[in-house]
Amino acid sequence: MIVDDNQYIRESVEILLQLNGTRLLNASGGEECLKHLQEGFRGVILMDIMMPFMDGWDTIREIVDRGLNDGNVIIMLTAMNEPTVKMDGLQEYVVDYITKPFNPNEFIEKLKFYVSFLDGVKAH
Amino acid sequence: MGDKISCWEYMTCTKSECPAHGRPEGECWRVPDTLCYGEEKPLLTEKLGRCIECPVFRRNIEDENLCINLTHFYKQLKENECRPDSLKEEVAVELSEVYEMLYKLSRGDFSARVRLASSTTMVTTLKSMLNDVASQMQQYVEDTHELAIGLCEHYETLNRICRNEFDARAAEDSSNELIAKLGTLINKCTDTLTSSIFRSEQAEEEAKNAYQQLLNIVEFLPDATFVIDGAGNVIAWNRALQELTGVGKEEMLGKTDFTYSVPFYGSRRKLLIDYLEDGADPTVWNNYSNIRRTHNTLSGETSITPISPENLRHVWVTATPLYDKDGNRAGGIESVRDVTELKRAEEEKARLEAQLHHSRQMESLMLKLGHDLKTPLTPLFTLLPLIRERVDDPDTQRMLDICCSNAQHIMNLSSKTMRLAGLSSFTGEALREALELGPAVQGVCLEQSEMMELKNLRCENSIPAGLFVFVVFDQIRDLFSNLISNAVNASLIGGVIGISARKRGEMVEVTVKDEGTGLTEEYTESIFEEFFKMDEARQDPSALGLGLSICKRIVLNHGGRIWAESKGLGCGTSILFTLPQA
Repeated sequence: MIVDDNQYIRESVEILLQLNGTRLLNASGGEECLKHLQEGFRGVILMDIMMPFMDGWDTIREIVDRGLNDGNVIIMLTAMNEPTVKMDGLQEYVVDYITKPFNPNEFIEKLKFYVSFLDGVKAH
Repeated sequence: MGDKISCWEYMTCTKSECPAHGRPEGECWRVPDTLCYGEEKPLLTEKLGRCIECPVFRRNIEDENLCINLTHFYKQLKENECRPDSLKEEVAVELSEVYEMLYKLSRGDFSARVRLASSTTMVTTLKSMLNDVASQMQQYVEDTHELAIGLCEHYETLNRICRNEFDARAAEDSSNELIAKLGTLINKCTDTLTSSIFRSEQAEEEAKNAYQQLLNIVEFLPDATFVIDGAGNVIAWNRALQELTGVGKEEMLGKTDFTYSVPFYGSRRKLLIDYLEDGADPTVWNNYSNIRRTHNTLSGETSITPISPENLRHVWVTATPLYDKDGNRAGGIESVRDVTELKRAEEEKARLEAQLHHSRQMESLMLKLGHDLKTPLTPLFTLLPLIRERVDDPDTQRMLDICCSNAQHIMNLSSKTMRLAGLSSFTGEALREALELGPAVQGVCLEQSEMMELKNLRCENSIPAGLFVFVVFDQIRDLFSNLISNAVNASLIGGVIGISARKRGEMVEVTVKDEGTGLTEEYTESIFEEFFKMDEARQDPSALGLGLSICKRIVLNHGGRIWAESKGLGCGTSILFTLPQA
């Protein structure tokens, strides 16, 4: 699932993943992401940090508070490397960071790695 | 002497008809025809001869010698009654000697003495008495002379003291006790007077010195200062004021009637010092701004035109009243501080602060822009390679390559701009650490070795071992990375890039030198400006013109300086900079 308020980024990633045979859910913000999780989504979550109303860190806080974290891998999409106070105590729920704009090949490789990692966990 | 006794009382005589009976003054022996001897009435001289034996006489004449002399005298008198005339003549001669002696004494000749030898005891006694009188008179005269001389000397001494000759001393060794004591008293008075005068002179001297010191203090006060007395006369006009107004103290001392305002304004008018007594005078507001009163002191700001009407100076003025020891107003002091430069500096500071604020806003804007650029770049980076893979037409492929390359350029520009903006607002002082320069530079050289190999370049790192700098590691890595990358780009094939460092006081001076294209002198400053590109670099689409700006910002953040040296085009370039030693 990609959580990003920018429609073009969501679409670009969707096209890229379709070409690689990976299914993708779209969420334009934190609320929609939580809705997908409540409906049973489990997998890799590509979370943009800077979003209106409810940013990436707020969304992670809600995911954790609602107990929806199990079975998911959260990867942050960031344009800046600057740390914020908000991420304190939440970084343990984030497994990786991808800096925008990203190289498509490296992006796909990283994503495949975490998908297979989750598949492996499920198999156990 | 005991009380006189009366004969009739002493002898308990009842002969009231006796001429001596009841006589108040007594001295019955001088009374003729007393009844002491019954009916017999002897001559007085005879009676006196008998009376000497009388206890009444003896009791009344207590002096034994006088009694004896009188006895002799009366005997002589009695004898002379029956002496021949020759004896009377001898007495006459001796009486003439007595007369002569008395004459000399009456003339003041107290040294005269009369011959004592005489045929009669009475005359001898008389002469002896005369000599005693003369001797005593002589003594009195000598004593009086001593007294007069002493008084004259003391008079002279006092006269000298009156003429301020305080070293004059009165004689204290006179044989006359009074004169000696008077001499001692005069000397004591003189000592007291001298000491008092000395103290008074000392006090006067001290007062003069204190006044001079005060004038000196006023003279050398850094602020332009003048002092007026109670009548408004200028009594001090210091050097700083002379420099400010061009008017010297010799022109101004003693002047009154607001003359002191002329050097400030070119005309007579009230200065702040003239508003001390009447601070409520509304005209003060016409002449001064920001007026403040603290106790007796009045301060304010104004503009003056000393020397010439064009020479406008902004001054801060303080005026304070002066009082004498009784608390009466004795004048005032006014100091004038030229704050023109300060005012300009304040205006400049305000301008710079506004500029800094604007600069920070721009940095913040650049950071946001850099960040926001990455969002639209993301679909381009994702989709362009996918499109490129799906296109077979070489022209379209080339067009897509150009698009990819420019997207990458925008990306690099955005990253470096953000880096530069980030460096401007972040000095990272807290993150500084001691770093050994040689190995750190070696690490950066290794990162760039691939680039160097392409041009067959050799990097000579001659930084001595053990040379430490106190820096933010990430920034220093960026600094060397940019400089070595620039040197690689500027170098010709087979060249050498030299990196050296040495201690310079508390700093370390580092040189990164290449043998490449070199610089003309006009560019040694401008190459550090943002987005500046040398003509050659303009041909390179990947060149951003931000590398040296970032280097400059990093060096400035560390309190160092950076500059370029080159002997001209084709002669290579050296970039030199300083960093703090650890």
